[in-house]
Amino acid sequence: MTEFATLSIAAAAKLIRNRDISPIEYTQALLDRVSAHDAKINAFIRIMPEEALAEARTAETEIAAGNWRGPLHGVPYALKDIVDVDGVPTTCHSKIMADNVATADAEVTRRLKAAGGVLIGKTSTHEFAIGGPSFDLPWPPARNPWNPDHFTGGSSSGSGAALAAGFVPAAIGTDTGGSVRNPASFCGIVGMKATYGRVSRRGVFPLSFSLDHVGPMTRGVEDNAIMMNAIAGHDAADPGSAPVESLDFTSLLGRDIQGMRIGVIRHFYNRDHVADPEMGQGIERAIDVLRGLGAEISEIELSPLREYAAANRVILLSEAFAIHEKWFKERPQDYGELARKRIIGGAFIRAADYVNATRTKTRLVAELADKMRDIDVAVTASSMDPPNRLDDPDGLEANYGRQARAPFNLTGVPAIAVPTGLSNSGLPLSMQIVGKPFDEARVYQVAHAYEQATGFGAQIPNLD
Amino acid sequence: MSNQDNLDPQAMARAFGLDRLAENFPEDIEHSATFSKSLADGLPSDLTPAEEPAHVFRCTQPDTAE
Repeated sequence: MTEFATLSIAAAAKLIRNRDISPIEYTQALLDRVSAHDAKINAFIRIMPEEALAEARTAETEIAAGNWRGPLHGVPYALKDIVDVDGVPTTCHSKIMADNVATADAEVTRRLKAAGGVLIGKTSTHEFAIGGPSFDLPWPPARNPWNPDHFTGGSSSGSGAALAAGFVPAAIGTDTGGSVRNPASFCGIVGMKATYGRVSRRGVFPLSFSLDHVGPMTRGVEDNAIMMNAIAGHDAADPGSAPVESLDFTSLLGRDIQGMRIGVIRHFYNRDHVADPEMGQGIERAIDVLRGLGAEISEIELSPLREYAAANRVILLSEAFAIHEKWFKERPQDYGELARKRIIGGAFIRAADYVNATRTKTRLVAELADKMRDIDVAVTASSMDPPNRLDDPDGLEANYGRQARAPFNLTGVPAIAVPTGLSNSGLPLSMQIVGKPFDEARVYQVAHAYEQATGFGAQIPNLD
Repeated sequence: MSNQDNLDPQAMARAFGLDRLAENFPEDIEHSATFSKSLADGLPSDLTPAEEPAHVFRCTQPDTAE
């Protein structure tokens, strides 16, 4: 009997194409699992069973007629609820947007529909992809399937939780300061932020125009590359979209990494921040695994993480406040406390500081390009700590900035978070692999080699 | 140090038209203003005049094929 909750996209695609499983039974099985368990996980804001089953029936009919569209045909997925679907509410997990119904598909939605995917629902997020986890919003925060007392990471919190819970094999998140990679790290899954401009942002509610990325979240690296194949591509209607050819992101999977040059950005997690010992040891063990696979390991030194983080945050908050200013004048009480506190910081940033943050960006983009000239990929931490408890607001706040993801939003280069195992208390550990601009296939190659060598990422927790 | 460093965040919020925010959430304003100042202080202090912003606009040549 097929275990649908743990089925990978790659495996499901073969079974569906060979008609060994039906998209309808697959979709129904996952909907049943959501129905049985999501009350304690809160991954979804909106579940769409009727629409999903209709899409599954269409997929089944098309495949039976010999019109298989590709590996996502008939495969269920979920969208973070800041991504538009024509005719469906996009709430941004906020009272402000509770009645907002989208009038067109986001480009990423259009591409996933064209690939034959089956949308089973919209996932919870931190409010407007910045506040949270919050208990003062119309919907509760997502909980970590590895331990529901703990944080999922955010802001693509529901997408991360839905994957770890076995509700879907694929989900879409967005990442402005790390919001795909943080829930990936905390939920023990794989999250990729591709090069800025690789995936269209059109139809996704903006947080910060200069830094927003849309990215795939999956339980495995191959699945992530399959999703990237579906969603990447130039979109002339997105001014940030890069006019580059999209590649087959699975093309380097399975190739060995003998002789691959990997630079470790160790000072991010042992000097600029000092990572939790288990997190740091997990990264060092991962580096040993990569060395054992034949990679040449060196160390690279960048500017202090604080400079990357400050430039990212000054740009992010300035642009976010520009988007939200009107609502803050008219209805500030309708925001949750965390989103309100975070976004209004943008009102107090001077124009000169915003400009200097973008000048810092120019400097740091050049620095990273220079330091990566003689290596193929870099490795560093994603989160500095395992996930906090949700009932520990001080701990959550203290760890909010203890991460090394923002540098790669600022510089726009591809970065993937992958699991490195579990802590002694059974919570996910992770690392980050970083590539050169538009070299996502190389990043996937290294992540896949590591995953295959260790087996991390294949498990889901018991929800009973 | 800028003039802004000497201003009361509540007064600034009102000057920006954020009266409701200032009235109902004064603690949030204090917290956010302090946090934003710390972020700005984290930017490098040695930027030279030649270092340009990331968003400098570049015109593209009109398509002459039409």
